Amino acid sequence: MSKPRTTPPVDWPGPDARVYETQLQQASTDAVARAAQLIVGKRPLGGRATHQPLLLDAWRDPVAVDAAWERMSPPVRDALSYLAALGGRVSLPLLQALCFVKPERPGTEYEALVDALTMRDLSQTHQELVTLRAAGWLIGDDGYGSWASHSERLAIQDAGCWHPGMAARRIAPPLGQSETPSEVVAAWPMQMMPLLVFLVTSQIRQAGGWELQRNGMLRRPPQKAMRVLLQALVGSDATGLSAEALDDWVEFLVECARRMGMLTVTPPLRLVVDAEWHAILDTPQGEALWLQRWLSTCPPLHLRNLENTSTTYADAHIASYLYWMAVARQACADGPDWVEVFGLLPALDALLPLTSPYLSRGVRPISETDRQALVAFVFDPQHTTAPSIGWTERHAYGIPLEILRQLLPRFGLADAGVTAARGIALRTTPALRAVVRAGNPTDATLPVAWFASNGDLTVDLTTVPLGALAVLAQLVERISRQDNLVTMGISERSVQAALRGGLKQEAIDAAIGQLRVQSPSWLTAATQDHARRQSTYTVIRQVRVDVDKAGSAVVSSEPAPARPSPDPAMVATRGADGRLLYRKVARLEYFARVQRLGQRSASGWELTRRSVQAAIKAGIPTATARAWLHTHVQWPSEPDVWVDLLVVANALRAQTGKLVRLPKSCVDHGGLPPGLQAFDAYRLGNDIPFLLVPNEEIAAFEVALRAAGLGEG
Amino acid sequence: MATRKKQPAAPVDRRSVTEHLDDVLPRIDLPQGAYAASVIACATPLDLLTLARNKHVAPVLLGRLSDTVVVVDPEGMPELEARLLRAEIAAVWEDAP
Repeated sequence: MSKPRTTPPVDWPGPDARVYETQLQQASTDAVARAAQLIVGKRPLGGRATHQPLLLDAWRDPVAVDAAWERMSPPVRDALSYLAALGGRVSLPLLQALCFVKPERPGTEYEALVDALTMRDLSQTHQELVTLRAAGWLIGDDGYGSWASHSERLAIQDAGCWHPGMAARRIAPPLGQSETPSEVVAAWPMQMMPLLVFLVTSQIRQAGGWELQRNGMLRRPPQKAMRVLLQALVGSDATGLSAEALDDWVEFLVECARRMGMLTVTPPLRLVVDAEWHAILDTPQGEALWLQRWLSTCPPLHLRNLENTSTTYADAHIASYLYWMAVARQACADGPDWVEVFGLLPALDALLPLTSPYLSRGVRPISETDRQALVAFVFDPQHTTAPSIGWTERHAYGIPLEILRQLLPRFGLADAGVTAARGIALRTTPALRAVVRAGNPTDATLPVAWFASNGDLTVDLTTVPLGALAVLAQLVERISRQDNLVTMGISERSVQAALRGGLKQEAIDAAIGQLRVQSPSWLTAATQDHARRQSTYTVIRQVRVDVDKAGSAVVSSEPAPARPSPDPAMVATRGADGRLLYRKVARLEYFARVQRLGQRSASGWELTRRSVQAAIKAGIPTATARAWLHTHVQWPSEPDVWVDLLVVANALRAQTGKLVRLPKSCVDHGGLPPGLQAFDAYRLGNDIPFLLVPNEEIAAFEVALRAAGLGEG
Repeated sequence: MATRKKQPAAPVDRRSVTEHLDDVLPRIDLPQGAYAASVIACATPLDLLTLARNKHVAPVLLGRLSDTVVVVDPEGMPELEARLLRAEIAAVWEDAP
């Protein structure tokens, strides 16, 4: 496989370019002038007054505008009207163009437009919108910048068009038309536009030769050739330029322009393309290489819960790639025919651990009805009723569906649509099968993964069994990727963490067995150690506890008693001496909470300052202790200020200041002595003889205290 | 040859595990009757002592029913799994009939 070059070809401009320059000079004066109007300098000239005639000129057929407008649903019309603040069906081209050329509106409105334009609407108005977007992009250099801010959309759509095979497949037959009378293919209709846009805007922004960058992006297309293309797209008379035969990779462009009514010249034309770029794309390996580059550079999943730090973001990228590869391989499992999406669901469920730890953990199974509703909601743009399931479930089960509906079709890797025979269905393309190497026979005896000496496990994404991959993903604590080789950092600690999280040892053993590698000794030791530890503790929810007269408790296998109603929470009364007098209540935890704060003495249970302090020291949060004391203990005598005090002091003492005790007389007489009234704000309560004095005020307070004749508290 | 001065031996704690448990997590005294509770059953009293002394798990433990069974606060049950994970303690989870 040839490696992409990073420097422009040395022979550019070559003989062909000179030919084109000559041809260009021979073209009609109008065409040259018109092209020049667009590309003079590095920015387009003119304002909207200049652009509108161009746009309206590009929109050749007013009848088509009317028809397109009528076909649009009311929300789409409203959105378009609102966005351009112009309204009216005849201005549709302008609306569209303004939307894309001068996106001065906030991104949310742009998003609203995209959301409003459902796939079906776009399919119906495919040609018109393409025309408009082309025109819009042609005249607006600023438009590129705005699109660049939507990097995901731009990257995805660029990627979807770069490949000549896929883009051509999108154009012939035209989208929006059924491939057979019984099928409605809901394909993305904008596939080719970003390519046009990219080429044109690149031409406007930069001048120079080809540059195929390491990341697969094609930069700086040939100036002369782009001028020809510009002329073709703006509908100028380029008859004089048609002497040469069409090059393969631009054939679809010219055909596209012709179908849109933008090309008045009859092919053939010819553009010069870097030979190496061709060489890369002409082989299946090159195709796969190219696709992987693009797929790995655009984030296909919206893992909203992941923190946007560089590490987790990079990991999320790899996780996303892992996941979409698994979904793609699953989609390819049944061959190139239409596959019913419902049939894929069980296999996709098994891949849930690959989504994201935030999604794969705690996802509940949803009913079959909800699954059907979710599929309909995702795939059918007219189906607006969302299934009534939780956020986590909607995303966990919805992401693979979005990959099937959006991501793969956008890349030209699959068709997602509704067929008469199979309902909501999916059909993979040869390109996708090349990427995942579907159908390639693999030697069943060879390992598909390798353990390194440091415990890292390297797997080949195209051959590793998907079930094993889903299990391994739960063991990973580090991850890195080189094309389709993913290195997973697995340690004894991460294995035990996964086992504690609920992963079964049998699943790990089965996964390792599927990899056809020898399980390392440390992995075996880790699982055995976990099994030994696990047998130590058993958490039993809502068990029945029988207590006999002697007070001994026995855990019973009988069903637990029902919760009583009403449910009094006051368990004990605290006497003046601190002893607790119990009442009979039905909740075990009420007794236990009070006793957790108390201490056993010879005469029974006592609740004292020391016992509460010990409980707080043992880990009971101060607020919890306070709540328990107020909820479960009755204080028949005067309020035991020391309990509140203890709790408050524990919470505040360390950070804020010093607790100072005042004579009770200060409280009884309703206020602080005159010399201390400046510290009134530091009282803990009207009936509490304590002040919580901030550290920086302590010195002043002690002076005031001595002046008042009270000494230190 | 100089004789090395003999260091005084550290006091040996001869208390039983149960006595240690009484300090850390006393038994719950309950009136006669039938109750419902979520519990952690431990293999040995020493395991329960380990659990009771763990700073991650201790805040949700209310008391023990025996030397091997400890009651978990119902309000702490939703976070118990996370606490056990933090404490690196593996446990089997069961639902009572």
